[in-house]
Amino acid sequence: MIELLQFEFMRNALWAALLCSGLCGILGTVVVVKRYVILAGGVAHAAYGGVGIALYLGISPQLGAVGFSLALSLLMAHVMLKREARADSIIGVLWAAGMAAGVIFADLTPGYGADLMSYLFGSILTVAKADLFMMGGLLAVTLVLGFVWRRQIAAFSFDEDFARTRGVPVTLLHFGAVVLLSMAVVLIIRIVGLILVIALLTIPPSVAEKFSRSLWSMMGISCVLSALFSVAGLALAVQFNLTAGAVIIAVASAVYLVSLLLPGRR
Amino acid sequence: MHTEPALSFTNVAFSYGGDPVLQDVSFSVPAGEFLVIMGPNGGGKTTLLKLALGLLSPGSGTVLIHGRAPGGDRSAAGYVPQDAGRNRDFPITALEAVLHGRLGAGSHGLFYSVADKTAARDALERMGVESLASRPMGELSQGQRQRVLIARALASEPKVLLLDEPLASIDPETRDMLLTELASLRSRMTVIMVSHDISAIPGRATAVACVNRNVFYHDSGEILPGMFEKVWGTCPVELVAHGIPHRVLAVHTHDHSEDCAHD
Repeated sequence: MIELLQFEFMRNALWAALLCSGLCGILGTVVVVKRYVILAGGVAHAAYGGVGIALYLGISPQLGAVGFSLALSLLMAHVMLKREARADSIIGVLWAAGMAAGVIFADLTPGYGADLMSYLFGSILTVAKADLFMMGGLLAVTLVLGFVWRRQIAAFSFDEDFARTRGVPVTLLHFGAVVLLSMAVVLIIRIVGLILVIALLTIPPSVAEKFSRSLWSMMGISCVLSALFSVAGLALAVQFNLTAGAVIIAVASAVYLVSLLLPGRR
Repeated sequence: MHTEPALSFTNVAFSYGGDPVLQDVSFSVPAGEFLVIMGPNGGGKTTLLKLALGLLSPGSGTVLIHGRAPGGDRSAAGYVPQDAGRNRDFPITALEAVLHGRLGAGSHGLFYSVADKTAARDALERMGVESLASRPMGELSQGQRQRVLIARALASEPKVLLLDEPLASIDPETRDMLLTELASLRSRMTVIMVSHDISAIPGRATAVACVNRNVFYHDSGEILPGMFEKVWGTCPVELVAHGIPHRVLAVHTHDHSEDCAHD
């Protein structure tokens, strides 16, 4: 296993797994406590629509995914903020519509079937340096904003209405979180694919929540768990020649099931 | 000498998507009152509170809290939301939850100041829950949680404390202690409480507002016992102010056969 690290693709995969764990641990915690799970799923599938459209137009799939996800996520965030009674249904429709657009535009573009598969299941072993820099950049931005606004983020996550009465810019934090989340989802899709990105965002924080006394310890524990899942999954995948994304999620799910049996510290 | 009211509504109307919830609401609460807001479900109690907090904006009319529009980071209002045990799993200690009350109260740096922490501990102490400071909120009983949430509002040093159903789902003993504590806060601030519980009024409330699309404000906190069963058939204030003349500040603009029937 260790000797595999002499290959650049393996080192890149490891970096990708670690950077992705940082993003998943921090943003996934917000997803879990703010109940943004359906939004994260919607963004992931909207990204697929963006990829399809980008392939059809002949532009960079990554760019297409970012643009389309961002646009749809802002729409979804708006619907959620209005607290419309049917916000989850509306997001469900956008989710499916994004996916359908991806499939149709891919159909209209000959010869890209294989490429789309990699967006479904991820391809951590083909991660490029440019992806790593983007993930590192996004993680740095997330850490800085998260630190500067941490008290406001905690208040906004715990009790939105109260936070608003204290002058916390709830609307700004809501849209900010959604924008960071949709960028992260698009990048994480490269690693585990859009089908599994929700699991990587929600499983580590769900395990961590049981053992945390603050939002920050929940984020920290989530990052560590996510890194363990990713590295262990990667190692097993290489060892047994399996799809890395699926093995990472299998490891995470197994730990999650075990954690359900454990008593929490609280 | 003119003293500015703690809270005033002037010709306020509010509707959710065309459905009028509040109409033609005008009343004013002098500073230092303990006002209990009562009324049937869907009558607009919570909407009234959210308008006073600036969480909702009136469709028309004016809401002022100590002479200023509600909301903003120097608000005079301290909010105690209804706590139905939602978000119980959220990882936060009692002290950190109370510190959120300091946000916007001049606490703009990267860290909570020593003064913030002192104020938060004082607020916990005032509510008798300082020993729970480092306990996670999820471990607390309903009554303890409610006290911490009141402490959070007190930590912002409000001039007006607004509580939404603070007595719901807590046991009768805790309820009585809470009511006594709330009544004792009157020396420092105006207390406005939404409650279903008509027995919260006697001996404590100094004013009662009945909300059912219109608001009927009564500057008396007396009630005759044994008449609870009639509460939602007629305005409970008919019971409260039985035989005592009381002010009706809202103009009756439509037939109230199913709302509060006043003279």
